[in-house]
Amino acid sequence: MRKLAFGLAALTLVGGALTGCSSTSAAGASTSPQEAAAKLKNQTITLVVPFDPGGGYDAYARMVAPKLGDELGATVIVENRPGAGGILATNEVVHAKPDGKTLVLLNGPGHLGAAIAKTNGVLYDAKKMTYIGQISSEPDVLVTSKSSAITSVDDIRGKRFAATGPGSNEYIDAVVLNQQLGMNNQVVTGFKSSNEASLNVIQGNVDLHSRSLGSQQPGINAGDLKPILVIGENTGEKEINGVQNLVDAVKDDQKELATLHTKLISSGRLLAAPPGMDTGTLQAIREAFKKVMTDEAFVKAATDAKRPVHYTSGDDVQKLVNDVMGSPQEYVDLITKAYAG
Amino acid sequence: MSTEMIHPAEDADASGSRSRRVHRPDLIITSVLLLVFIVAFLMATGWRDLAAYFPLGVSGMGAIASASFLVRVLFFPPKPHSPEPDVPGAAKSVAEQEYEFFKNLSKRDWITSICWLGGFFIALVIFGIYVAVVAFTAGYLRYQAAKSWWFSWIYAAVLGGVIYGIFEITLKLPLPDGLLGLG
Amino acid sequence: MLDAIWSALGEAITPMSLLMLLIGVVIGFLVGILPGLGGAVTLALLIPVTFGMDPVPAFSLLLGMYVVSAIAGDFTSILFGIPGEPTAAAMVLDGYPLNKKGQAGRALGASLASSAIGSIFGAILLMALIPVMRPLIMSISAPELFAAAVLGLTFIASLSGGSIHKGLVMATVGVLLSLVGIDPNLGIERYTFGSLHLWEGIGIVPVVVGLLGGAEVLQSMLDKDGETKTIVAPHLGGILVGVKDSFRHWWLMLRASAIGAVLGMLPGLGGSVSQFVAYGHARQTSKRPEEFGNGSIEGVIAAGATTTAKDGGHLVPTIAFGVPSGASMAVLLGAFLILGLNPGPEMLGKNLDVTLSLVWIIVLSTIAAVILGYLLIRPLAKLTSVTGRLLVPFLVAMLTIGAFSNTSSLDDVWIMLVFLAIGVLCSRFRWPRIPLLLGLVLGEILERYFTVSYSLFQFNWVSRPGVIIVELIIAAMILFTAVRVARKKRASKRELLTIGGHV
Repeated sequence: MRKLAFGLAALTLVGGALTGCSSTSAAGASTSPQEAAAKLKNQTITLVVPFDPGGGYDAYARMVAPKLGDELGATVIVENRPGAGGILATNEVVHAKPDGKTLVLLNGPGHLGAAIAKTNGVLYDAKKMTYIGQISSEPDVLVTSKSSAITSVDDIRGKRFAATGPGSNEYIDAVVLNQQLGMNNQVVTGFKSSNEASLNVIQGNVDLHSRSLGSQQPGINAGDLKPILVIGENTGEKEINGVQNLVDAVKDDQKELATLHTKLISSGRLLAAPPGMDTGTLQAIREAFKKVMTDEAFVKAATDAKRPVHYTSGDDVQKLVNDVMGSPQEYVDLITKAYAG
Repeated sequence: MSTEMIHPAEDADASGSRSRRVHRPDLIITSVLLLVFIVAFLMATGWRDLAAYFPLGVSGMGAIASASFLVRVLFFPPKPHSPEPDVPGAAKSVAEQEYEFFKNLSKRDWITSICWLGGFFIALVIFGIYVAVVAFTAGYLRYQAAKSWWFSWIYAAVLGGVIYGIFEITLKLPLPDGLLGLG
Repeated sequence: MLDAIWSALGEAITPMSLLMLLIGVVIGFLVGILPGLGGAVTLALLIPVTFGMDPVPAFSLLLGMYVVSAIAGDFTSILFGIPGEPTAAAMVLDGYPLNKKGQAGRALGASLASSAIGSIFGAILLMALIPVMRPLIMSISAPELFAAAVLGLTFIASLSGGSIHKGLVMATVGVLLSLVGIDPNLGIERYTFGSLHLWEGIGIVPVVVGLLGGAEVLQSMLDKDGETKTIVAPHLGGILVGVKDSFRHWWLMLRASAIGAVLGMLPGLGGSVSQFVAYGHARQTSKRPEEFGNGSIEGVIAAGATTTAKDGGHLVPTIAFGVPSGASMAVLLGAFLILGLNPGPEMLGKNLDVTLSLVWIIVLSTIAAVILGYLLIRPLAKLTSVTGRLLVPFLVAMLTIGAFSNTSSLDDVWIMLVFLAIGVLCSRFRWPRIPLLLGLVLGEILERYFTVSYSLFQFNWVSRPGVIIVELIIAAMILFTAVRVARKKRASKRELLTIGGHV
């Protein structure tokens, strides 16, 4: 009986503590960047990656984290919190304290796309989040198999797109292309990963596949894939040199939407923080981030590691977010369609 | 099949007088599963084509499989096996041993264990992994394993320390830090 | 070619490479033993270390770690009944019962020996496939994956324990659970009940840890005087007995290796399917199927050989087309790119030496793991003589951390607890657990690749060569089982007559 009593006691003791304690902390008043920087010294900053380890986001985060830590005199640890295509982690981060100790690496197109489409599960206002800056930006590239008869964007009518599932960047591209080029091409979904979709393009089972340049490069370099169209700003890499751009491929009345979509794609990978960060802390982190991103050695190392960086300041990112979030209804409808499947 | 002959699939306590009676646990489990499948089927009817076909098929099949098993449990209870002959413990299959082990526990055994486990997980949510592990270890060893306080605290400290060393220092992987953020 | 093979060996045994290999092996052991802490996370953590290294030492560290973590994962399964990796679930089924019988040493020895052979088998297959790798992968698409998953389904019967009917019901529950999440075609939430965490489905790690490990932990907690464990001092000489057992069953070991390696080549199938296929196959073809689940050494050998043989197979699509067959391979693929290697023809031509050195790295790290494992078995086997209750705090912490580290979320801890309860109920009321696990692993693959196959080829895919091969295997297996069952029935009837109805 004694053991039972202790078991029960253990339970009630712990249960009682639940009601007894609660953590409270007052929001800090606005501080100067110097004070804020001093506050972050020797602290542990968590950089949340809303995806599994091993992907591009994880790799970028792990590349930037130690440098940012050096710059701030703090320890930046990377934490993978995959789920719901990044929405889960973002929902959590917006509720964290905006004290600079929680940062998140966002998938720009996915983050903003979900917010525009107001898809199920989005519990945050993308405009209110605090943006530290952009880490990288690369265009999407539409490819086909090397042996395919398709040679340019004029040949793609009636061909089939491959994509993992609705709401993925590649699916959004397919829906946007269909609308902008006045096509009604089938999108074959259900591939487990974007690499698998790509393999099926190489095999000739499906014709077209659009995803980020970095992911397409190995296939193009191996001679298995050929680029057809660039979606987003052409950054001039040799693989896509001279390839037609979406903005030039569409009719005049579609130019505006094509430009908006270019903006969405070029939002790239964004470093962000919970909403409501005081200006001092924000400035301190933005400064440190800028120093990292403009450090020549870092930029070169990143390029060598096939993870090219592209810096945009937090202010400009905020503007871009506001632009995209203020898109005309036509574009909102289009993106919403791309999430509804 | 062959294994059915080695360890009868149905309850061993269906001895002579209570032969051919309905096996209650199986009845309950099968009914619950049948209900789950039916609910799953109904939910799936609300979805559109490609998203619905497979769930409809699976829950339909599950409902049929569990309904037919329910019929078996209700109307065709297995013939009572001759009570287990004196099979020495070592010759019994592991599943059998495990089954008998769990069967022979008293209600109090269950409640005690569930309270300890429940206490651990509640502590985990509130205080985070370190407090939960250390408190649970020390308490459990002292009161359930009847070890001395000394031993219990040293074990607890070492366990907590090893976890800290591996996850916090070496790998820098997050662990549950509780509502109070003590991690 | 032969020259290239030897020069690749030369690269793999430079002091730097060997040093990295040893570090990798040690880390791999630690990671493998801790449940939940998988190869993928650790690989991601190690990637920054390889910045600026040459490819061969870098892969010695990464691949060495990865190969060894699979071998060490089996150790946890045998010692504590908690799978150290999701791919070590089948090892629990017979390895842990052997431990309970006081034969931990034998089980560890057999698992180590079969893992080593499996790993080397996979490496040799990888090398042998170099000339035909690309055409081979060109012919594998969704239909082949679907067919392989159907093949996996046929093992439900032999994994059901007592009642096939119960097994069928549980497998269907598993398939139903695999549907939880966002559907892959229309993006509709299915059975998520408003939880964002469930959008990506129920993770295999918390399920395996809870379903298999949970019941064991609860048993240790409830076990007043260590009566569930046979009180036999760990049979130390057993290690060599286990090694000998493996080689006595060399044919099974090779078949299990082949299953692991071939299924490993299919990108998208994942490593957790092949272990059950190999295990089910071993049981079907065994002369003593009734021992399976009760400490059959054949079960240990099949599970051990498959888990490591898959690594060689996994590398095939990764090298040939840059299509990784799982999270770990995705991280390795990242490493390829960082090191300036382009998967595809280059890896089979200009950088052939790197590909060949990967083969050597697998072989060398396996050898290192065998030596390290052999040294560790004795102290580890002694752990099993520690009475149940002393281990409880350690095991509870392992369960929790294992489940949590899946996605760094407490939700996974709750999922683990739910499956812990299911596992205990299954043991208590004699319902089979393994079909549930198999259904969960296969369900998603079945749906996904059926719809993709249909979208791509309508029904023309049934006549693809790869699919026909799998169909023939399934038919042969059903025939084989039917003949065996019929024969056994006749034999047991005769036996009953002679002994007089005593079972």
